[in-house]
Amino acid sequence: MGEVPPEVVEEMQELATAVPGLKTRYKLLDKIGEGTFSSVYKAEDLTGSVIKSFSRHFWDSGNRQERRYVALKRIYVTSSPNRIYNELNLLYMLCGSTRVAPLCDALRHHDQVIAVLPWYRHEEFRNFYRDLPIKGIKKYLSELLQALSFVHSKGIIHRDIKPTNFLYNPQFGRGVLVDFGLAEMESDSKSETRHGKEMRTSENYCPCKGEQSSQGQTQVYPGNHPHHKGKQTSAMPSAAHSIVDLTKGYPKHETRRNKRANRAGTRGFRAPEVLMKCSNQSTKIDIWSVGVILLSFLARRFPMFQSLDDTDSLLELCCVFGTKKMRKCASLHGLGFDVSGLEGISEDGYKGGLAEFIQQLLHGEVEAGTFPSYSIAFETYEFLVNRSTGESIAPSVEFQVAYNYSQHDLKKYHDEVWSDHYWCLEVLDQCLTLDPHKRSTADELLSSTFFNELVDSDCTEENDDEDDVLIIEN
Amino acid sequence: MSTLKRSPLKQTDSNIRAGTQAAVKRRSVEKLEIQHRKRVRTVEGGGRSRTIEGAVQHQHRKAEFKKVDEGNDEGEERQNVNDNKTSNNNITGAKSAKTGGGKVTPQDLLEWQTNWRRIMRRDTKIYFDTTEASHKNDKKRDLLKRGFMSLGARITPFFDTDVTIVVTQRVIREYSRLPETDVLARAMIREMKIWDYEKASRFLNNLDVDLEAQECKNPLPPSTLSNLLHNEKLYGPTDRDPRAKREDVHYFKYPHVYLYDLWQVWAPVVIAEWRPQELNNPDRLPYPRVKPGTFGRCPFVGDGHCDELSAKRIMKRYKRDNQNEKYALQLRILYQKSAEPLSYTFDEFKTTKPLILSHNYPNSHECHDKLMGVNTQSSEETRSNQSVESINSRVDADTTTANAIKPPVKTVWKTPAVANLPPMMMLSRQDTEDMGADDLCRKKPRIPQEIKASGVVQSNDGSAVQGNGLGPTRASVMNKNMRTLNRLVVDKKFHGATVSPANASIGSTKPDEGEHSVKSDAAKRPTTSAATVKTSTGTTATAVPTATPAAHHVKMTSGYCENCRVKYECLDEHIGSEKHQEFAHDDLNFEPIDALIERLAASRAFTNRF
Repeated sequence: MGEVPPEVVEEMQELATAVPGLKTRYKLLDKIGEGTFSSVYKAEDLTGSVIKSFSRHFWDSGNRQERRYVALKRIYVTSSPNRIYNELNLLYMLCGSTRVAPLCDALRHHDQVIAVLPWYRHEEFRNFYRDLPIKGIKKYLSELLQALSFVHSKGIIHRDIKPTNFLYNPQFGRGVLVDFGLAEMESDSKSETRHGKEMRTSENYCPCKGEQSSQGQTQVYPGNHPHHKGKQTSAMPSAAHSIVDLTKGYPKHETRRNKRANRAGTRGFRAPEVLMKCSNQSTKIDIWSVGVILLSFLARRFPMFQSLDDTDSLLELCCVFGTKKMRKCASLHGLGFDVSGLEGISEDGYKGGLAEFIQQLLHGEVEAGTFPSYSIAFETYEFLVNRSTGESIAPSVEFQVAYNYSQHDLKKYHDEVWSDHYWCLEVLDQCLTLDPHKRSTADELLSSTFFNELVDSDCTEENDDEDDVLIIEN
Repeated sequence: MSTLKRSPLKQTDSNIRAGTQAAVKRRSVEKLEIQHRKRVRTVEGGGRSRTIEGAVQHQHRKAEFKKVDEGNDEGEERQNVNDNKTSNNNITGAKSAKTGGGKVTPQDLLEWQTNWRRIMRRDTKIYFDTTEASHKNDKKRDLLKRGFMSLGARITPFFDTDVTIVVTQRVIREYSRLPETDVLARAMIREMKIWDYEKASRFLNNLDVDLEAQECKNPLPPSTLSNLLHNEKLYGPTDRDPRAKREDVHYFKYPHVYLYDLWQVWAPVVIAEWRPQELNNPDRLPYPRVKPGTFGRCPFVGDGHCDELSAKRIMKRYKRDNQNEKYALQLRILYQKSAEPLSYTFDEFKTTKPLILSHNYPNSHECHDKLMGVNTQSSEETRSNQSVESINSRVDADTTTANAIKPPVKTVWKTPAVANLPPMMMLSRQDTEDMGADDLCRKKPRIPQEIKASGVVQSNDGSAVQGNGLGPTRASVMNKNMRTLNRLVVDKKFHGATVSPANASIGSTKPDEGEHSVKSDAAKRPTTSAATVKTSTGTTATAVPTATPAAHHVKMTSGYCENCRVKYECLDEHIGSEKHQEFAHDDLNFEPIDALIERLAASRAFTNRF
C-alpha cells in the first residue's frame, strides 16, 4: 500500500478521536482524496455490517481484503447542515442502483459529519483515457449513462458530471457515480408553461421554458425589429428600458440587476444553458457534461476546455460550434449574443462539426508524432480521415497478418471499429447539442445503436433494485 | 339663464367670433375633415373610440340637450358633426335654443360625468400653457394638474400634436393676432380645446373632483417624481430618438463579446472588449482560441513553449510510452472483441494477442528511432511488423513474469504509472488531477489547478471560485468603484502568485520549464484583461490563484463559513470561535441529519438480521 506520510497519519488520528464511535467501527487507513467541500479517507469496516447490507455495491476484485474497505467522506464543517442533509438524503434516495455510490452509514459529532460509502478500486481517468479502445469507451459511457438514467429518473440533477466524479475501472468495466454535493432536484417546470410578458422580470423565468419554443427568433424583442415598434412598446415590461438601444453597447452605469441562476458545476463541463444563466436548467445539463467527457476520449485530450471563467467557456464553445449556432442558442434563452473581431472565432466554427474538430486535434498529434506506435488513437484518426475524404466507410485494407490472427479476424475487427466510431460520433452529437430541448436524455442515448451489444447484459438490475428499496423502507 | 352663468359658452363663442368669417369657415372645414378622420379611426379602432364624438353622439341619440354648462362644448361639436352648419350664428343659435330649453337632470349629469371621465381616462393629454405664466398661479396650476391626473388624464410637459386640451392663464381676445408660433394659435389650428383656469376648475368641480381635498394631500408622491427624474437621467427624455447615440452608453469599438438580455430587463451577462494592442501577440490572446497542441493537452492551451519535437522530449516520451505500453495493450485485449471486458482467465490472457490495425503514421517510437540515427529506411519497411513483433514479445514477457508471482490482473493493473512519477500512493496525496500524468513536464499541472467545482452558490459572476466555494453571492449590481477595487485585489493576488514561475521561465528555455510559462500565461490572462477594457459585469476579472503549493495552503485555510455567515482567514481559528462552537453544539441544527442517520442504522440492522 505504500507509506502513509506522517501528516496524514496525524490527521487521521485527530479525526478518529474527534468523532466518538468512529474508532470502534472503522479503521482509517489512508487519505485518498481532497475535494472542495470534503476529504475522503480509505478505511476498513471493522464490524462488517456495512459491507454485509450493501454487498451488492462492492466491486469484486477477487481480493477478499479489499471487500472490507469503505470510503469515509469527511464533510468540512463550514458547510451548512442543510447542504449536508441535501447531499446525504439524495444519496440515500439513490441507493437503489449499483452505479451510484450508496450512503451506507453516517456519523455526526457536533458539526462534523462523516458519510460512509463503499470503497471502489478505480483507475484515474488520466491514466486510461488515451489508451481506451472504442469498445472500452462504449462501456464507460454505458455505465455512466445508466447511472444518470437512474439519477434522472428520480428527478435529480447531478450538476457536476466529470471524470473525477465517476469512478471507473476499465478492467471490471464498472463505474460508479459519486459526489452529490452539488446535486439538486429538478424544478417542476410544467407548472407555468404560459409566458406572460411580466414574467420576464422574474428570475425563475427563461424564454426557453414551456412550449418548446425552440424557434426563439419568433419572439419579438425590443430593439431587434424596428418595424414593429408599436407592438414592442406595449409589450415592454418597463417602458423606460426600451428607450435606449442597448444592442450595440452597454450603459456605463449599469442599474439593472444581474440575473442569477444556479451555476454550480465545474468549468469546462458546464452546458451552454448554465453559462447563459438559464433558470430552467434540467437533467440535460448532465448529458452535456457526458458529451464533454466523450469528446475527451475521442480527441484524446484532457481537459478538453480550459475555461478560466464563463466568458472563456462561451468563447471556447464558439471556437468549436461557431458564433452562428451560439447566437441561436442564446436567443433560446432570451439573450442576444454578439462576437466580433476575434480571430480564431468564426461564424460557422468547424464546418464538419465535432468530427472535424476531433480530426484536427488528432492530426496535430499525429503530425508531431506524439502518439506511441501502439496508440489506439490511430483507429479514430483513420476513421475520421476516411470519413472526411468521402471514401467508403469501410475500405478494404490490406491487413498485415500478425500473431495467430487471420486476415478474417482483422477484417472483422476493423469493421467493428469502424461502425463503433460511426455510432459513437452520433452519440457525441446528441450529447453536445446546444439546445437542451433537442439534446437527448440518458435513456434515449442508451437506446442508440452504439450500445446495442450491451443492452442485454444489464436489464435485470432494475428489478433487484426495487426489492432493495422496499427492504430499506421497511 | 344669465349669460354670466354661461360664460363658457361665451368664451367658446368668442373663440370663434374672434376670427373672420372666412377663417371660421376654413376652420370648420378643417374640423370636419379632422372629425371625419377621427371617426374613421374610431371605426377602425373598434372599442377604442375617440370618445368626444362618442359622447356627443350618444347624447344626440337622446335628442335632447339640457346641458347648461359644459354641455355647450359638446353642443358645438355635435352641431358641426351632425348639421354641417358652419356659421357662427347657427352654432350660437342652436346653443341658445337648447340651453334655454331645459334643466340638467341628475341623470344627464351622471351621463355627462361618465362620458367625460372616460374621455379623461383614455384620450386626454393636457398641456399647461407656460407663456406669460406668473408664479403666483403656480399653486393653482399644481392643483389643477393633480385634479386632472386624479381623473387619469395625462399631463404633458411638452406641447405636441397629440394634446387635446390646452389650459392657459392668458386671456386672449383675438387669437388671430397671435403669432403663428404661439402655442395657443397652434392649438387653435389643431382644434384643441383651450380652457382658462376658471373653466378648468369648473370642469373639475362638475366632475366631482374636490380640489380642496387635493390641496390637502401631499404634492405628487416624491418617489414618482424622483423616479421620473431618475429615469430621465438614465434614459434621457422620453421624446428622444432611441436609435441615436448616447453619451452614457459605451458603444463597442474594438473586438468584443457581448451577451445581453434581449428584453433588457437584466444586466448583460457578458461584456468584454479588447483594444487592438492587446490582440497584437497571437500567442497571448486574452481570449481562448484553438491552438491544437499535442500530447493530450487542452486544445485551448496548446503546447505553449513545450517543444514536443525537441530531442529531450522525444527521448522522454519514448521512455514513457514504453512503460505504458503493457497497460495500453492490456486495454486493447480487454475490449477488442466486446464492449464487455472479458474476464480472461490467466491462461487466456497469456495467449491473447492484441489486434492492431497497421498504419503508417508517425509516432513516438519512430521519432525516437530517427533521433537515435537508427537506419530508418529499413525500419520503415518492416516497422509495423517489427513493432508488432516486439509488442508480442513484450506482452509475453510481462504475462509470464506476472504469472510467476500472482494473478496478472492485479499487478498489471495496479500502476500504469508513468516514468519517474511518484508512485500512485504519492500521487493521491496531491490533487490527483493536478499531478495526473502530465507526464513529461511533470513539474506543473497542465492547467493552473485541479478543475474544482465552482461552488454551490447561486453565483452571478462567471468567475471560478475562490476560497472554499461556499462564499455568498456578490452584490447583484456592483458599483463601478467596487469593481475596480475588486479587480485590484485580484491583480495583487495574481502578481503574488505568478511572479515567481513567470520569472523562472524567462531565464531558461529548457523544455521542462516550458510548462511554467504556459501556465503563467494562462494565469496572466485575467490580469491583463482586468487592467483594460474587459469589464464584464458577469465576469469581473477573477480567477483562481495558481496552484503553487503556497497558494494551495492559503486556499485551504481561508474561506467562508456558511453556518456563521462569515469569511475567515484561518479555518482552525474560526472553528474554535465561540460563535461557531455554539452552532456546532446545538443539536437542533442537525435534526434532519440525525434522523437520516437513524434510518440508515435501522435499515442496516434489518438487513443484517438475515
